[in-house]
Amino acid sequence: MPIRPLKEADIPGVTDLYWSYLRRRNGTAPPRLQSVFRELCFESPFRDNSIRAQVFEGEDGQVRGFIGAIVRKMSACGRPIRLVLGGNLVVHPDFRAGRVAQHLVEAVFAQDADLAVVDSANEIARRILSQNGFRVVPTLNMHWRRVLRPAHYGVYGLSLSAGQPISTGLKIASKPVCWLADSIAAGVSRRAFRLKPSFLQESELDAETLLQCMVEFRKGYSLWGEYDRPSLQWLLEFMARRTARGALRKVLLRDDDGKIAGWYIYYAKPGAVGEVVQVGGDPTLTKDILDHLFYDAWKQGVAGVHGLLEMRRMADFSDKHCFFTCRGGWTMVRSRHPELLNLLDADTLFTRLDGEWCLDIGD
Amino acid sequence: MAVRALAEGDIPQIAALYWNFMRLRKGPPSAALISLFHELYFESPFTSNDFASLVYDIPDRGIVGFLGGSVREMSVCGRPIRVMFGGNLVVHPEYRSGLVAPRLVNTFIGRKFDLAMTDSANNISKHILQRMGYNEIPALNIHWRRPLSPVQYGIYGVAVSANSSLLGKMARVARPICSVADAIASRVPANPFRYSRPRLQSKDLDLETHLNCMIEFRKGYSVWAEYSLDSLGWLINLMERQTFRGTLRRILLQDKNQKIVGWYIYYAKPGAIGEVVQIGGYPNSTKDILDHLFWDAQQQGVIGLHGVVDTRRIPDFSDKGCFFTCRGGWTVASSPYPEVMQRLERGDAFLSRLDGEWCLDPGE
Repeated sequence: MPIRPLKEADIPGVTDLYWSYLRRRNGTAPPRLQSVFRELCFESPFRDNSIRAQVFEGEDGQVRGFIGAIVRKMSACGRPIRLVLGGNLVVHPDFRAGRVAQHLVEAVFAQDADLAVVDSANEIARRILSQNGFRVVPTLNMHWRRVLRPAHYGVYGLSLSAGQPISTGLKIASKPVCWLADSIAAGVSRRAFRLKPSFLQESELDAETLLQCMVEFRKGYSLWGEYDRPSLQWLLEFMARRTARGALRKVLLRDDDGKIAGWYIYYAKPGAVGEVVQVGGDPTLTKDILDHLFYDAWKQGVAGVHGLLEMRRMADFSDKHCFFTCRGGWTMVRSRHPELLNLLDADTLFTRLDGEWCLDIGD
Repeated sequence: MAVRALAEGDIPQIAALYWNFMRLRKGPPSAALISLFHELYFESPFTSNDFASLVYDIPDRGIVGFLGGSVREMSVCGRPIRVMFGGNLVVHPEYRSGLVAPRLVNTFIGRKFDLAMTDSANNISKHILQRMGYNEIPALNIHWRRPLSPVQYGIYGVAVSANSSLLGKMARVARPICSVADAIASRVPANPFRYSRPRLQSKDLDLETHLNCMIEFRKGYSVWAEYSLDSLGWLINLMERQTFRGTLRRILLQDKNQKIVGWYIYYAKPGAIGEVVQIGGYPNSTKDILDHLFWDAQQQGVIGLHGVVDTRRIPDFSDKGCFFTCRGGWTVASSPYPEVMQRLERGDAFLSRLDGEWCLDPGE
C-alpha cells in the first residue's frame, strides 16, 4: 500500500481532495485553502518532523487519501508527554472500498507518541478508529448546549438539514415569527431566556494573560495542555482568521476587586450557534462566568451556544439551563500507557483549544 | 428538646409532617401512607438499629423534624461495606430558621459509616450536605432523557420549565391535538420517533433471574449493591405498589438463541414521563436494549423516558437519541475512605435507581 509522509508538493492534491470529498464542494479549491494547509502542515508550532501527516498515492501518482497529524505537548502528573492528533481523514471515493482509510490511520498513529487522540471524529471515522484500538472516553465526549433564543435555535437546527437556498429562505421568512416567539419565551420562562448581565467586569483576553490563567486554574488536574507564548499566540491568530464559525471573542473576567475570576473564548455568529472554545476560571464562580458568556452571546445575536463540557463543572452548567449530548464530534484515544487512559477518565483538563477542533480548516 | 431515634409510635406524626409540609397537602395523611411509613422504617430489609431514622422532638410540641434513612449493603472491590442513605428530610415551617435541620443532619452523619449517600437531593439539601463535607459525584448525576412523542414531550418541557400551573392546564387541554401531531410524525419514514418492532425477545423478569443478572453483569465494575432474594423481593413488591409513578414493568431480553442479553425496569404511565429504574446487560447490546425499551414504552403510551445513565454507556444512549441533564435529583456522597470516593467519581460503580433512596419514595 503506497502510503507515505506528506510532502510540500502534495499540498494542491490534498487541498483538492479535502475540498471535493470532505467538504463536498464543486470546482477547484480556492488558493487560500492551499496556504492554510501549508501553514498547518509545515509552519505551525504544532508540527513535528518525527510525526507527519500521511498520504495515499494512487498508481497514477496522484494523492488519493490523506490524514493530517499535529503534535501537542501535555503534562501528565508533571511529566511531559506528546500527543499525536489525527484529523481530516479523506479518501477519494474510488478507493473507499479497500482498506486505504484503515492503513492511513494505522500509519499516522504508528508514529512515536504517548497518546493518540482524535477529537472531532464523525460516525465513519469513529468506526474506523474503533477497529484500530481507539476507544471513546465518555467524560471527554459530553457536549453542553445552551439555548438562548429558542425559536431561532429551532429554525437554525432545521435549516442545517435543508439545502442552502431553502435554509436561507427559511431563516428570512421565519424571522418575525421567531422574534415574537422568543419574546414570549423570555416572558414565560424568565430564568432560562431572560438573560441578565453578570457582575463580572470584562476586558479583552490576550495570549499572555490566557497563558497565566491556564497555569493558575489547572491546579487540581493531572493532565493538561502545555503552551508557550508563541504557540498560543499563533493558535489564537489562526483561529481568529477562521471566520466560518464566526468572530472569535476572547473575554477576560474580573471581580469587583480586579482579581481574575475567569475567561471564555467563543465564536459569535449572529442568528446561528456560537461554538465555545474554552471556559475557565475559579470553580466557585463558574455560574457567574456562564452568566456573562450567555449574556454576551445573546447581545451578539447568537441563537444558542455549544461547547465541550468539563465534567467537574457539569452541575453548574446544568443549573444554568444547559443540557448535554454526545453529538458534536467524537473524542477517541489510544495509548500503550494504561495510567494515561485512567487519567483521561476523570482527571483531565482538555478543551477544544487543546486538540484538532480549533485547527479546523473550515470552508 | 432533642434529636432521637424514630420510634414506632412516632409514625402518625412523621407521616403528617411529610404529608403537610413536604408534599404540601391539606388534611391528615391517609391510613395507607401511615402504613407505608411503618413498612419503610420498621419492616424493610434496609433498616438497621444502628442507623435508625431520626426525629426532632420538642416536649409539649411534638415532632417538628424528621430525617428518614436506609442502609444498603454494597461491595467495593469485593469488600463488604454498609452505605447509609439519607432522604425525606422535613422540618415544620415554624422551625426552619433554627437548628432543627442542621442537628438532624449532623446527628445522622455523625455516626460511623463506610459511605453515606443521598440520591434524590434537591438544590437546598445538596447545598446543606456540601457544607457538611459531602461531595457531588458527577458520574452519578447524569440523567438521560429520551422524548418518544416529541410534540407532547415539548409541551411537557415548556410547562415544567415555566413552572406554571396555567401552562400545565393548557398542556392538558392541548394533549389531544399533540397526540394527533405525534401520530402523524410517527408515520414519516426515517423519523427518529418512529419505532419498529425490536429484534430482541422479551419476557417478564422474575426475581431470581434479576438477581442472577445483576451478579453476572456487574463484572468489570468495582462498586455494586448486594441483594438477597428476600431483600430484592421486598423492594420490588414495594415499588410495584407505589403506583404514583405508573405501572412497574420488568422486562428480560433474550436474543434469538434465548441467551439473556439484558433487562430493564421502568414505570410506565400513559401520557406522562416513564421513569427508568435500571437498565443492564451486555455493553455491546446496549443499543438493542434501548430500542426495546423505547418501543415498549411507546406501546404503553409513555411520551418520554428519564433515567440515570451509567457513564460507560453514554455514547450508546446518545446514538439512540438521548440527551443528558443533571436535573432529576442530586447524588452526593461522603466517605472516610478516599478510594471509595475515587471509584464513584471514576464511574466505576454499577449503581442504579434501584440501589438507593429513590425507589423508596413514599410518593403522594
